[in-house]
Amino acid sequence: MSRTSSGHELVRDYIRQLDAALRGVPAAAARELMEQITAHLDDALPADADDAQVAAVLSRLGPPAELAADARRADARRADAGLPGAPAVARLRYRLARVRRRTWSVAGMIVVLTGIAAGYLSYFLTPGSLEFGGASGWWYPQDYSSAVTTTADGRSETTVPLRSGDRQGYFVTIDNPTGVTQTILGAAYGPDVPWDSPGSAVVQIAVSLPDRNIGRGGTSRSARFTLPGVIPPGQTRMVRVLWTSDICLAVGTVSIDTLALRVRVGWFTRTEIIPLGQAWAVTANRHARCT
Amino acid sequence: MTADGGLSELRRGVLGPCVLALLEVKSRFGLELVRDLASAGGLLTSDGTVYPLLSRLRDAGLVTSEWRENPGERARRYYSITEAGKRDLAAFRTEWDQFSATVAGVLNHTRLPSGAGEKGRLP
Repeated sequence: MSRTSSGHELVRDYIRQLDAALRGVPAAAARELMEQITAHLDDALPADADDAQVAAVLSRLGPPAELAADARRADARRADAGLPGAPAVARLRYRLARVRRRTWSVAGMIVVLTGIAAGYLSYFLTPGSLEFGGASGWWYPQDYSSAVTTTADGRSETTVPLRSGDRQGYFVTIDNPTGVTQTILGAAYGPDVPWDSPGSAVVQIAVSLPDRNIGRGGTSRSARFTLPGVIPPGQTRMVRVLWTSDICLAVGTVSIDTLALRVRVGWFTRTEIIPLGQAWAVTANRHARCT
Repeated sequence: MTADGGLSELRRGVLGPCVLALLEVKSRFGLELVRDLASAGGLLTSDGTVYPLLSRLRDAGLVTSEWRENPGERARRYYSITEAGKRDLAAFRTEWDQFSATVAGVLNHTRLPSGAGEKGRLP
């Protein structure tokens, strides 16, 4: 816009002085005046104007300090609520123009920090669930030696007799396919949680400590267990699920094909429902003892 | 108050309505408006005064501005009068007629006969 006039030394001096004089005038008003003055000079001065012409135009424009004082006065007059005819939009624009740069930058900073917090939230809220790792078995020898596996409709179920009053349970390998560490806190209970426990209401969850054999997809009966159990990104742990079978089943089967866990991810604790790929079932015959 | 100070205050006061009156005829860009005001003679103490005034009129809703580009020329900000501006101007015209008549009446009545003009004052 200022391709003609701003090349002139006198004009540059004038603009510099005006810029300095406008300190303290609200930023938007100062910017607007600067734009008006440069446009005025561009229009008033031919490209080949000599010093005398430039000096004459600048002197008619008035001293920068006086112009700035005018702008300040105009701004003060706008500040008087004496603008009965002013539409609401104009009043709002005026108020916004008086907001200082520092205030804008503080507001900007708040926006950025909120954005970072939101990013953190979504980073820890969006990662997927833990997954069944592929290896599994009944935990107690008397169960896995008597387990019967059946497959129907592409769904396999391994069934053991109910040993009422005893502890029974299974283990599964659990993968963490996500990019964030997930910490298993225990079993999840609640109306929305599919816990078909064939035994006590309380199910005991334990997670293995790091074990090379498990990491390679195998299982290890020598693994040590703990709770809460941490599964770092991309790693696999063995999860043991035990209960005391103390329900009274006349004839029937209770099968479990999901594992519902309380899991902490970042700041958040959530329920993850993990499909197990197969069902674990206990079945009772007519000789089962009811307590 | 010096005579000059009084006049420049007066100029400042009537410049707004004069700008509105020029814009009522047609929309103009900055320099165009400055030149038309200057050619009226004695209205402008300095050209720059017009710009803060334009911003103030715009904020008061009496004037709007928009960028226009005429073929072969650079884009310029053109100022136009609004309906509110027209009402404001009409009101000022009525008041000004009365005001200037009153001022003229007072000034002429109190003018002393020949020789003492420069010392004229209200009795």
